[in-house]
Amino acid sequence: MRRRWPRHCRALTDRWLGWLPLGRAQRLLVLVSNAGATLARSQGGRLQEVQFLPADAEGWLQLDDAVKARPAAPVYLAVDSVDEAYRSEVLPRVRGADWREMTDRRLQQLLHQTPYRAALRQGRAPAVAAGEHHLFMGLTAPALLQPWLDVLRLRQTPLAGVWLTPVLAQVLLRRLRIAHPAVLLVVAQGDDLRLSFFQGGWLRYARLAPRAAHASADPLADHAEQIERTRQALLAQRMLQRGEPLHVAVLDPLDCLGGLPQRLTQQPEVNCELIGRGQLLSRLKLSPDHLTQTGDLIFLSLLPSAPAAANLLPQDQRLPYLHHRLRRALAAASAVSLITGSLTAAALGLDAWRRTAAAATLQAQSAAAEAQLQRLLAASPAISELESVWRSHEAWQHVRTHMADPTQPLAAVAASIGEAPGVRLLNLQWRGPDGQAGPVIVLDAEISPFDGDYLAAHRHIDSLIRRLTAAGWRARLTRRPLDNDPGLTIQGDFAPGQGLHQAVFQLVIVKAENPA
Amino acid sequence: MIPPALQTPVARLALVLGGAFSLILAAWLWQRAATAEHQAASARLAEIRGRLALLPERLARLRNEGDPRAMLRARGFIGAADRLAWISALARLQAAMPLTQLAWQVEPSRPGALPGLTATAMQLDLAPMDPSRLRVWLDALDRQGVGVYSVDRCDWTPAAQTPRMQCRLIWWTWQDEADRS
Repeated sequence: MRRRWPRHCRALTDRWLGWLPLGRAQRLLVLVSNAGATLARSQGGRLQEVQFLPADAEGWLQLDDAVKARPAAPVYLAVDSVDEAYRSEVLPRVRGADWREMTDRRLQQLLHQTPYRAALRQGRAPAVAAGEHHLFMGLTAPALLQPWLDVLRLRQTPLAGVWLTPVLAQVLLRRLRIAHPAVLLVVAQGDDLRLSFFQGGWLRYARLAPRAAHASADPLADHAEQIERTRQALLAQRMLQRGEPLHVAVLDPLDCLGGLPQRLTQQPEVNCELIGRGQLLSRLKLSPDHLTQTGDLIFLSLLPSAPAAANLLPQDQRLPYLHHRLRRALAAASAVSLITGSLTAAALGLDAWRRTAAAATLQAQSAAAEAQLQRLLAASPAISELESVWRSHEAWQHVRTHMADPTQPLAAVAASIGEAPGVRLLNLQWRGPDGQAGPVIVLDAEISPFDGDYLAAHRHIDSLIRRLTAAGWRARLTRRPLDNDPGLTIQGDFAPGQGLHQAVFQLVIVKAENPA
Repeated sequence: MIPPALQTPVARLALVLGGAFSLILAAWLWQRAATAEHQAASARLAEIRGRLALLPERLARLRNEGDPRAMLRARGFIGAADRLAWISALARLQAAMPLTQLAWQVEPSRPGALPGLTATAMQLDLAPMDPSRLRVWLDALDRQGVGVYSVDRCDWTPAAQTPRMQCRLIWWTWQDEADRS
């Protein structure tokens, strides 16, 4: 036996956590007819707490009690009435605002007397180019529905919508997997018979036929009569052609209509199929208790699957349901945020705790190592000074890397230049070692005397570089007497009296790693 | 304007979002502090273990080479930068080896690359001067024993009317951080 949450715990949970979208959504399903209303609670697709409400103040009160007991549950309402209108037309295939404008206009023309109307798309019309089948339907006499709607409006109950029973029959047809080109679905509805006609799986026509006076004595005859009347009506409206096969599917939840197909043999194009109890139980989510003589509970079980486009409820009456959807969405977002935030914070907290514990371990190890180091340093006065000695040694070694003698390189380079004729030393710069780089000498000199022969000057410099290379230096010419770069502009004036020409050049010299 | 039917759910969502954000922020701050603490503890342990590992090598060096600090102190390397001593040494050199030009400029001391190390730059303008004469002059400065220096740069202009050299010396001093504090 499944354990149930104790009642007081449930109340507590509902009060503090009722806003969380936990568990499967609950819905209240109501099917209104002339005889009253059938009310059921749907949870997880199963019908529960089925009630039959009379069409009077007592029934309205019972509905009020049910709604009051579950104020957050949305209500889905179906209507089974003779005051219905259906009109099937082929209209141009358009989308969006154009479709809404077109269908609203047509609905106003066809069903101006009622606000409970809707238009359904029903597939392409092969016979008409760019055409599409439409079914316009409406509840022509809303007075049947009004008292029930007043109860819901008073309680500000979120009303999801109002649907006609034949629309649910279309859903039923698909659940039963009946796929004939022309189908007449027959369902007993209390004292009446609901006949719905489908072409290609789309609802085209429906009627609610009152039972004849002799129906209780010979229900098969009543069924056969209504089926034939409906067939004639379809022929009259040219929805069905003479000789066109018609598949009649009759719901037989109590398996008591076994002789019906034989009653319909007069018309050879009519083919009758009985949908028995076993088939209904296997295809629909209903318990055996809910399969009664009337099809109310069958239609109620299909109400949550009703197509949204067939909702007859006017837009201005849908606000409470929209708010209901938004409330659930906000509650779901709150729940997700709460869970995500908690999990993220928990993960971060766990990591922080782990790192703190690891840091404590490391600190303990550091303390132990520090103690060991202090013990060793305290063992001897010399050792206690070891750190200071080492630091002074490191500092001294660092300074020694900067020490270099400038005089010897300067003298050596000057001597090499001095031996080269025609070169006048202007300036020698020595740069001390810097990190990995060794000392560098920058030499500025000029060819003297110079008669303007730059070519000879360059050759002279080249020979000077060779002399330095032979002496164990590596020289790089960084400034020429005349830069011969084709991308540069160079100019001069060899006219007499224009001043002495100069052939100044610069070399960067370093000690060769492998002297030649 | 939020419809009355939605005010409570919206307020609840805002509260939950605020609470979740605060929770995550607090946890993140805690995690960040714990990470920093862990890194500091890890670095401290690595440093101590490094010192322990180097202890035998340093002990061996101490046994082999002895304590260099007395020598370094005598040379003027250990201790505070003594600018007056350096400048006085220049004056004594000028008296012993007169130059027609001996201009000096001492720059502000700056920290060296190692803890406790200080570098003080001194610009010298010497004339008449050439490399061989500079060697003699620097040897005489060494004999003054007023400190430890290195030559950073020397510019020699032999073509001037009076050959001159402009040199930049770096005077080095070191003080143990424990002694300074």
